[in-house]
Amino acid sequence: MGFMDRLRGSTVLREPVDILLADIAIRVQLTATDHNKAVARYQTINEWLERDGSPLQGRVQLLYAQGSMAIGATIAARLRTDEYDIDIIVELDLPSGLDAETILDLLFHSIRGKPGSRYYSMTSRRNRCVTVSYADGMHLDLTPAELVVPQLAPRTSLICHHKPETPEVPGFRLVANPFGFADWFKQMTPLDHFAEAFAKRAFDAEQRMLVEKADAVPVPPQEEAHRKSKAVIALQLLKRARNVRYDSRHNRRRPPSVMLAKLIADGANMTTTLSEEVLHQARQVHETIAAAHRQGVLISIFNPRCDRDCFTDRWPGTRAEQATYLGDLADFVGKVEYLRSGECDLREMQAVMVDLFGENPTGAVFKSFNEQLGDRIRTGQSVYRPGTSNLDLTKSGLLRPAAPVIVPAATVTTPRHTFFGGDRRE
Amino acid sequence: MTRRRSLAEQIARMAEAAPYLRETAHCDWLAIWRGPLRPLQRSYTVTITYVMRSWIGDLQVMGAFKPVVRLIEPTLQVVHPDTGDRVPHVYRDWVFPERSELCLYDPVADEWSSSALIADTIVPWACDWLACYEGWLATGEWTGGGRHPGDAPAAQAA
Repeated sequence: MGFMDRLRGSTVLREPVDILLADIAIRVQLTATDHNKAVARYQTINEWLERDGSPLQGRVQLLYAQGSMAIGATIAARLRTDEYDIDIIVELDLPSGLDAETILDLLFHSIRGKPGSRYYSMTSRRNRCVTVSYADGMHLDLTPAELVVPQLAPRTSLICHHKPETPEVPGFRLVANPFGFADWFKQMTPLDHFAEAFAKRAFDAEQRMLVEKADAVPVPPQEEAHRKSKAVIALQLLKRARNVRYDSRHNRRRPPSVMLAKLIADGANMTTTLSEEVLHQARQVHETIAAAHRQGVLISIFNPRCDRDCFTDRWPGTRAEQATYLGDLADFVGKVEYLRSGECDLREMQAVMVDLFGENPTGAVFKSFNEQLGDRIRTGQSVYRPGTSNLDLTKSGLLRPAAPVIVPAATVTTPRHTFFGGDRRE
Repeated sequence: MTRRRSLAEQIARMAEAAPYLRETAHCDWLAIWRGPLRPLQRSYTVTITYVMRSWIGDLQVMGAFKPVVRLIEPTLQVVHPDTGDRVPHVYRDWVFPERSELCLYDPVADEWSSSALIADTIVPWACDWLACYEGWLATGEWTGGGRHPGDAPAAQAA
């Protein structure tokens, strides 16, 4: 990272709106601690699948993260609880001729084991995967896959689809390449100067959260684990906003995360600040879907590393569903515009963010921001940008800088003072 | 003891350090500034009125003899819309509560005197106050500290 990157890194989280959006993302995302826990869990499942007597002993080639876990964009699956769905591919080497139902059942029984074994009561069979549910709310969705012809892109696989509740309806196989997509996504969203500033903030926040929860801290996560590009944070925030809107729409399928990831990676990191990136990405996703809608067709997005891997095969089912999400995106764009306008104070920003991202993370984020702000003022550490009345959040210590802060000689810290007067609070 | 700053010094320093505050009136013993303060994202219009201790013939000029800061726009929210608490750290104006003066420093603790420059003390303190006010409106908690009448000053309390 060069000098200019370090300089920019100290300015990307500059305005309160950028810091508060970053804090919302930090509150809803998978912590580094939980990320490590998920990795340990699927490694344990890998060992379990290879146990003596397992129907899949010797058949497991590889277990690897796919979806949001593979691109670092995992957020809580529910609005009010820290429950995370972790997507894992179980690459299998199976005899030819097995159908989708058989393969899914084989993985289900291999993980579940006999009554009394560790995963027996935690395992359930889904349409395309087997889910292991942990007491702390984490779910591992394990998708069985077989490699297809080696001429295709690396790790192009066949996955299975079969509904367990309608066993008479035959299942089918689909071509997918989640590994290739994750690789493409990471290339399109390289870590930039923002990543370091975000990593420091996320690291500090996680330390505070661990203290709040009084968790045993096995190994303190390193800052490195939190490095993410602005585009990934924008993706997390758009997914969260989608989850909030669809939470009250019962039995309505949500726009798929992988579609959002593809569209966001297409135009990643063309901006300076986080709020600018969020706005840019929301507009771009809206425009792409709206273009299809205007032509009277449903949006169709494919994996750039596998042209038979359709990301929109299950959504939208109808133009009405498409129009619903377009309305959500237009609303999102308008509200982020307002957040960036400089016209709203913290109270209004909080109300808008509660509407967009839910009460749960937003209330905690504003409370924490207000405590940090008050702490700096109370202890005489507020610093204003020279020639302005604008609080310098980095030099005031609300934000740990990406690079050491060089305080110009002309900068003067606000003289310490004590607010006075008013009614005594009982 | 440091000498009292003249009004000319106050005006000159304000023009240099806080040019966004426009001087709207001044005479030998009074200066008024008005303009926007923007500690976080939202802009607030305030007035700062400073009446210096002085005499017109044998009549003493009436005034607080300290800078008085008032929030003009948006109107001061005297009562919190959710908690019903009254806004802390103001000298309450019982007739026009929304014109209450912001309490920026502890008079007992000698944090401000006429030897201090308003631009370097009162202006950043008003920004601090507004930042805390925003946080109070958002969360119901005033986190910037302060002393209420009747509480022991910080030095005595320690």
